[in-house]
Amino acid sequence: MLKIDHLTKTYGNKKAVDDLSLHINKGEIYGFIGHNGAGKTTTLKSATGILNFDGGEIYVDGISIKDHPIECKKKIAYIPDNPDLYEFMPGIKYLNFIADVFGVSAEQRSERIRKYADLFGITSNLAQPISSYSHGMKQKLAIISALIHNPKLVIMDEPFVGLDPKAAHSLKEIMRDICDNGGAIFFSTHVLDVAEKLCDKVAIIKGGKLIISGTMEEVKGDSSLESVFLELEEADD
Amino acid sequence: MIKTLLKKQLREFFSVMFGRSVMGKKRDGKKQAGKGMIALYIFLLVYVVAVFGGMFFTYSLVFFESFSPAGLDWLAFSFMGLMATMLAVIGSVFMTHSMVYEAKDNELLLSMPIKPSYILFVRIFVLYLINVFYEALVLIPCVAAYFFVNGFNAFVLVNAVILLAVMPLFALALSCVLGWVVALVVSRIKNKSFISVFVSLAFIAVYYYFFIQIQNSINELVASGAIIAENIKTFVYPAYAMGLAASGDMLSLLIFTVMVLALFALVYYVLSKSFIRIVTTNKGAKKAKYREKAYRAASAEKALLRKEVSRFLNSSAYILNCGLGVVFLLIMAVFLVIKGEDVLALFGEIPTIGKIAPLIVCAGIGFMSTMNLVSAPSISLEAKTFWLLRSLPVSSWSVIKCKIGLHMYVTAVPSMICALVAGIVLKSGIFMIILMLAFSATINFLVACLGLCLNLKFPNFTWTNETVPIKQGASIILTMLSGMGTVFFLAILYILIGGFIAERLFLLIALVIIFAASLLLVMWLKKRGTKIFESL
Repeated sequence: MLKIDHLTKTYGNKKAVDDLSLHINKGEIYGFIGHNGAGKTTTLKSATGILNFDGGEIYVDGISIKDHPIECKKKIAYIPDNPDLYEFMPGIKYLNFIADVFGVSAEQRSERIRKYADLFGITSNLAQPISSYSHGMKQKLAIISALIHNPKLVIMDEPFVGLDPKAAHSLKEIMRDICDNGGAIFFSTHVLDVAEKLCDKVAIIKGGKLIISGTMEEVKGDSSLESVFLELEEADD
Repeated sequence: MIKTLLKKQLREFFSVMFGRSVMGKKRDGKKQAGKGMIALYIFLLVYVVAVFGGMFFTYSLVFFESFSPAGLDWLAFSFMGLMATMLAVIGSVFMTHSMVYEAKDNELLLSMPIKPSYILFVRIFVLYLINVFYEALVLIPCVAAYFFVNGFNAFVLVNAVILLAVMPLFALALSCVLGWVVALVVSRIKNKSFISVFVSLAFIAVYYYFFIQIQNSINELVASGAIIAENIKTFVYPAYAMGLAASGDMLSLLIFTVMVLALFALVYYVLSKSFIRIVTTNKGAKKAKYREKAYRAASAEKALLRKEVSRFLNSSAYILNCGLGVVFLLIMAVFLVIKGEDVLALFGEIPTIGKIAPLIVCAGIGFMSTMNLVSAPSISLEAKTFWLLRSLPVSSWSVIKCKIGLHMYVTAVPSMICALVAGIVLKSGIFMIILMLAFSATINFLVACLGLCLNLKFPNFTWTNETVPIKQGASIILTMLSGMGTVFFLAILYILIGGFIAERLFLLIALVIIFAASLLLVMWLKKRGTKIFESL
């Protein structure tokens, strides 16, 4: 579903991502772990077509994001680490805006907005301007807007930050549903317990380079993900 | 503590006024704007000081030449003092509102071990400096005019310096009270941007009305000086005391200073007592209830355009600073409908002017269109939400087209209405009216493209207050100057070749020039602009 092939991205003289390769298959929840500034967000933004990159290739469902960005973006949903949305719009207008851009029919969007807004408990707030939302409510709205076009691939940057326990639980169930229906999830997180329980595969990045990747069992073996991560982090320090 | 807070407040103020260009460097070491931009800001400042200074010097001169022989110098000072206070209050009331009541860092500062009165003090101090600037714009030319008419007087000079320090406190007290009223009204209503625009336009209208009235009735004021003097003495004692103080009377200076300090102290005391409550109470508008209703799906481009329209209509700062020319265009159209006959008669009296009336109208429309800068900050305004446009399945060109579309929706229609009304009133003939309409649309299209090109070249995604890209962005200033330069260039061209060709032909040539320039900009936007957009 997502193939990152020798991705390299530099900012000035600094290599933020250095020759990184990953392959996320359909049906997989893929966790992406690394310390602050390791290159996670740069990788995720490159994979969604937000950032241009210097080297390598990224394919979404076999299509190059460099050559056909719009085709790829139609299949992707992206949830950023900070839900900076159009604060001047009421929540419902924002959802309709996203639905229009992705070409979602009126019936489908009504059904999905009703389903997810009820699930996340923000239906009564949809008429309010986003500027009046709390961080958690904005995060919920960003998640609903990401799901409104039934994406094949969901790329998320720290999706659980700001969510209440119920919403976090709902999001985990949604992630599993998407994968069970042939989609794929690629997300970064610092919550290693969640990653350990939720992910089929995991990759650890450090200083822009991929340190380790594979199935959860391959990566953590008999120990916990946390201890593996800390061990790898300290290895070269 | 106060020194640190003051440094922060001044830094914030100057970054709002001048962007970050004079405030240091970006993280990567690149300067955000060069010396050219700073020189441009200094030029604009000198221009404002010269225009206002010249105007107030002229008013003062008329007053002193009339009142001084009758020993009524104080009356001239009173008039100018009132003018200075009004200028300062109108000029600073919205700044007071945003700096004291709506400051984004109020809660952050209140969470720190800082006395609320210190926070209030530094905010008020910066506002005081702004008021000193406004008052100086009037008082310095006024004192200069006094010396010009009556010769140098050391007492007047000393008192003027003291008054320049005292009078801003009076204006500040008034703008604090008015700012509080604005904050109260705005916080309780739903359509904040519309009300803000309405209130701002009302202030601007009052401001212009006041100065037009001053210009119209200056002779009347001079003629009835003695009666007005008696009324001021009786009913507006502070103005009388201020006038006397400015004339060199020390006792009046003392009385006036005590009165102003007492008023300011009262306002400051009330504000400091209620500061926490004012800035932390969420009065909130009534919560809108969500009712599910059928929504008609729209195309991606239509959705993008709707989003741009929504962005524009939901920001009073955006409307007022980038769409004010629209108001002037509509006022011009209404004026022509009401006073059309008089205008026609006026042009008829001077045949050479009458002949080029449509060209004068086009120049006027062109000039006002360059004040509409809707597209110029539109890229910078995306800032934190830029990721959204880049993650959506829409081409960069579609985004750019919608931004041009918004500019045209907002500006082209009023321009064309104005051109149509002018064409009909001036009986310009159908061909000329068509040319005028085409000119109005094309000049707006040129400004729209120019604004986007310049904003792509000079984007600012690091602002914390949206007035920075809207008011002081490099793209805003350069678009305005380039647009005005284009109109000026066409005027020069007419002076050079206008004598040899018919007016219609000249307008056609002007149209071709503007269209060609717009086409070049569109090509640049499509090829280079989209690439820049994708690399931002």
